[in-house]
Amino acid sequence: MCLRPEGMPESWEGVPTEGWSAPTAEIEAQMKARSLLGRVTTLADVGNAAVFLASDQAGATTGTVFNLTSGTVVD
Amino acid sequence: MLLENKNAVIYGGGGAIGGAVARAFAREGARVFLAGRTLEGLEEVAEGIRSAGGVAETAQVDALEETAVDEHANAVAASAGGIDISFNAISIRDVQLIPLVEMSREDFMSPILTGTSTHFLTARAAARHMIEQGSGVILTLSSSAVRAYVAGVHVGGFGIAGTAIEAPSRNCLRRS
Repeated sequence: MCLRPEGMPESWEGVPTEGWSAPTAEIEAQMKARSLLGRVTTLADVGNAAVFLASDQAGATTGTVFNLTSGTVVD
Repeated sequence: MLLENKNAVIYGGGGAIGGAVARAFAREGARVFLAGRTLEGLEEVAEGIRSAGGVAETAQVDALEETAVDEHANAVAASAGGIDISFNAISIRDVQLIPLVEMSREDFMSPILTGTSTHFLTARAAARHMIEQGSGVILTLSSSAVRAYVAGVHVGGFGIAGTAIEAPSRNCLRRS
């Protein structure tokens, strides 16, 4: 199974961003505007999804991609 | 707790995503084995997990080195009694922000070769133990860049890397 998150502003801390297309706050705003849920994906979202998929609660799930983009990408 | 008595290996466990997933696994009772190239970042995550009452171990492993990956997985399986969960969140050396028409072949291929290689190696290492024990979960990581080939967005080979990582995650890997 595969986790497919959107870029996470939380994970940009300490990352050199000088060559980026826009200031990070602007990119974050664009991502929010583009997402169906009006939010950005968080590291906790990815952790929680990984826990669920790894647990017996997801016993009937296999061979799939888990969409964690907050609706910026819709299958 | 959802992952009691599970052994989880997390490659890139010192990074933002690897660390977050490791903490979440540990919170749910899993024993986590953090693997990565730099011990410092791994230790920081491990310390946080231990101080919250969890169990974490660290090991210096380059998840692109075949022998190192296999030996580490074998060691974890031998000492912990098996591998129940494998998650790979290492950086796949993507080069972005350059239009494709200006990008070199090396930069374009970098995340594709790195991503497919490392996910193949870590999934294979875990699968050997999971087949033996008859159960297990392998989690891979892609990104929204799989759909990012649109005007003005320059993700280089990063989206194709994600697509190539997703393909076997959909088709080849069986949970039993």
